Amino acid sequence: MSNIVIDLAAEFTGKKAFKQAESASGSLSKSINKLAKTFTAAYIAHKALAFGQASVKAFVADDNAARSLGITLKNLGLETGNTSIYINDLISRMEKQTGVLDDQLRPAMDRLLRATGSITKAQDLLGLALDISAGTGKDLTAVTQALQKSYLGNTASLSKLGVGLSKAELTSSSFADIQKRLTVLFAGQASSAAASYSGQLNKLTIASNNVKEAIGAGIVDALVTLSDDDTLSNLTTNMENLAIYTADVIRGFGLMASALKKIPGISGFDVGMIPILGTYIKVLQDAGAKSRRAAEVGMGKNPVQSGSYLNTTKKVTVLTKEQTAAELKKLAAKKLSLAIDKANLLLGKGGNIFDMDAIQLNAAMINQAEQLGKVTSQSQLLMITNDIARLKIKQDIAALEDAIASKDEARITAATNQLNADLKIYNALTNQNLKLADIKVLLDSLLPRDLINLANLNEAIRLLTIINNGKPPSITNPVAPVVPVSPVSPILGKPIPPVGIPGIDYNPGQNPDRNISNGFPNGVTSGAGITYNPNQQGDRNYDIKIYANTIANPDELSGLIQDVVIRLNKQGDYLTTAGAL
Amino acid sequence: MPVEVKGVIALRKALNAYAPDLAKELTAEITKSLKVIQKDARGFVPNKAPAGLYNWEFNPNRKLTAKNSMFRTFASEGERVRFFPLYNATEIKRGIVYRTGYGKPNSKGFRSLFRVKNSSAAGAIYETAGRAHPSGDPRSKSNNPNAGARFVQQGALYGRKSSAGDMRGRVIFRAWEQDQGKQLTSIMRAIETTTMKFNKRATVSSSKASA
Repeated sequence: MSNIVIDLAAEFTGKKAFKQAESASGSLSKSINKLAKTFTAAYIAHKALAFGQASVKAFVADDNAARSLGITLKNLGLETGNTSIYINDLISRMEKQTGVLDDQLRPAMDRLLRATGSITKAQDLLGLALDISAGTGKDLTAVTQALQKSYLGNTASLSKLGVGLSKAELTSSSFADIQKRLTVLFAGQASSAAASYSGQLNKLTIASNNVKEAIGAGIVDALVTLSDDDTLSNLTTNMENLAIYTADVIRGFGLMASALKKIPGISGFDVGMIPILGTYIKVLQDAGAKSRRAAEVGMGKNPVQSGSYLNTTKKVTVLTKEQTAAELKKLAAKKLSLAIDKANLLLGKGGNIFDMDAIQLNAAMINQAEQLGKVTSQSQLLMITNDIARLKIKQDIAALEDAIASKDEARITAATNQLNADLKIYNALTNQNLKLADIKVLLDSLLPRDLINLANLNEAIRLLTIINNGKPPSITNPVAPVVPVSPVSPILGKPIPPVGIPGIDYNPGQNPDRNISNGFPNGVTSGAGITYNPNQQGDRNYDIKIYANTIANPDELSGLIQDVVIRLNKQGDYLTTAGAL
Repeated sequence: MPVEVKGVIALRKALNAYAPDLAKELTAEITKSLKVIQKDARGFVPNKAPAGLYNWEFNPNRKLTAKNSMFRTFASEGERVRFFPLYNATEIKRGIVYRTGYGKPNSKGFRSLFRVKNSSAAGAIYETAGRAHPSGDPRSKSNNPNAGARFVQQGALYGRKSSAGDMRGRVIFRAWEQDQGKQLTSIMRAIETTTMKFNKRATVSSSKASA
């Protein structure tokens, strides 16, 4: 997969993660130390029980494979009474020689027996399959399947194994020829692999597996003998008790062995060395060994013939059911723990928005509102509701803490849901609050304060009154041109505008009636004794317009300037060539 | 109780938890910027494969076999065989994507926040061919060891190579180079704006004062 990526931005989190991991591992090791002290006592018994369970499992798997092989032999008519013993011996020898588990060898043998119908041929092919498997590194099951198919005429799967034979060779040759060729090509691979280091390790695994199977067989036999009443609880109790007793005995033996080693002249340890008890243990060991040999003889026969199989299967089914019940119990516990975790997470969230000072303040405000008896504005109502919601969250948190302490799953879930619902209400209220704030800010920004200002208006009225010779301006037409009391115009019979205010000297060169109507209609520029500027329109009106342009925010402005500079530099315009800046 | 939120990842987590509307708004803003780069990059993908690279062009009517094409890789028997990726403009364009979710930390501890990817195999070839060997590689075992030179002749590489990494290419790197960091500035501005809005909303006293 390609990795052509542009990371527009990245954040360094590694250090934090390492720190977290460090502290987490520190606290974990502390907890483990504490736990270890508690668990040490129970550990040995538990391990013994676990080993016992694994041993029983291994024994059952082995027993199943052996049974299946026995049935195949019987169905093919190859069972002569001791064929099963012969095949089992052959497989255990192969297992030791090649380091391949009998769990793989038995099904492989089974498959080849079914394909060839002959023990000798199956044996040869199994040897060849082991060589090919060791040579190619492919799984024994896959190789056996390919050989089985080739034997039956389908060589496609053999070609997929990469054995070094071309498709043409495989299709044109008979199976005998192919087998001959493969035998030459892979000669000695299995034995060489077995002699390798990995092969030796495999042999160790086989030995431990066989130990498990042998012990598993012993445990199953012992349990069958112990639980004659066939009840489920007795069987499991017996198994657990057996494990605990075994562990205790082993522990006791350990102590005794260390004590015996201290006696001068004794170098090794043997059970028989223990006075009186040692003799009893020896007797028990002999009895056990005798029982094991009897079981081995029984095992030598086809398990179906020996009749032990069904009995064992019944016990195993019961055991499996019991294990399933235990798993379900574990699952329920896990579910509870999950609910607690979830609740704790929410508690964390709730804690973030909870502020004691704020609550106290709000409580005081609520009291004040109650004293007043009524809410005066919508925003006050919202604020009080907000505070109540916060107090409700606090109550929910307390309830949830109680629920966690009680470990009642239903109660925890209910309290969690309640807290969640109240948190949602709180969030909704907060948003509402913000919207109100936004509206207020908008309204404030819309008010043209400098224009509608009472002080300004009063000042204007005062000035107008002075101009109007002490009379207040008309309320119905406050902006109408002010016509002062003056001599009447000889032409129109209208009063002539005043030439000044008493007590003030005017520039005689300046047209005294500028900016106000001169009392003449448009086009008439002079009256008796007065010369007017003919270029000036007497009744000129002045328009005042206010533009409320948008003021850019400094960041945006600098961004815009940058954009323009970049664009100019890249593309240029009709005044500036590209790249000139 | 004072709560401190540091970093973009923490901010986005906090937004998702406490102000989903702001989280959506921020994602929409970031997406808008990333889409600009994506669109520009898609525009730099030619409809036909560069000239002189015979048979590299994808032809839906022609079935590739060992006989009629050199774009076949041979693997040992039993293994999966993958054909050499052919030039298909539609597929390359489809492969130019953007992601707004933060990724896993890399070996140095950095987590990518937003990225633009050229994810198709053929797209990656067209993007970077000739970067390592602009005059061809005589030691190459490829069928066409001079492909690097051929690519460079057909279309130059845009971008810069620095100690931080090789940022030269023909599609997404070219779009990035052409953008001159404008989209990055808008993304940062969007983050800053959202932070301010979130701070305003998170402060209980401020909402009270304004109410």
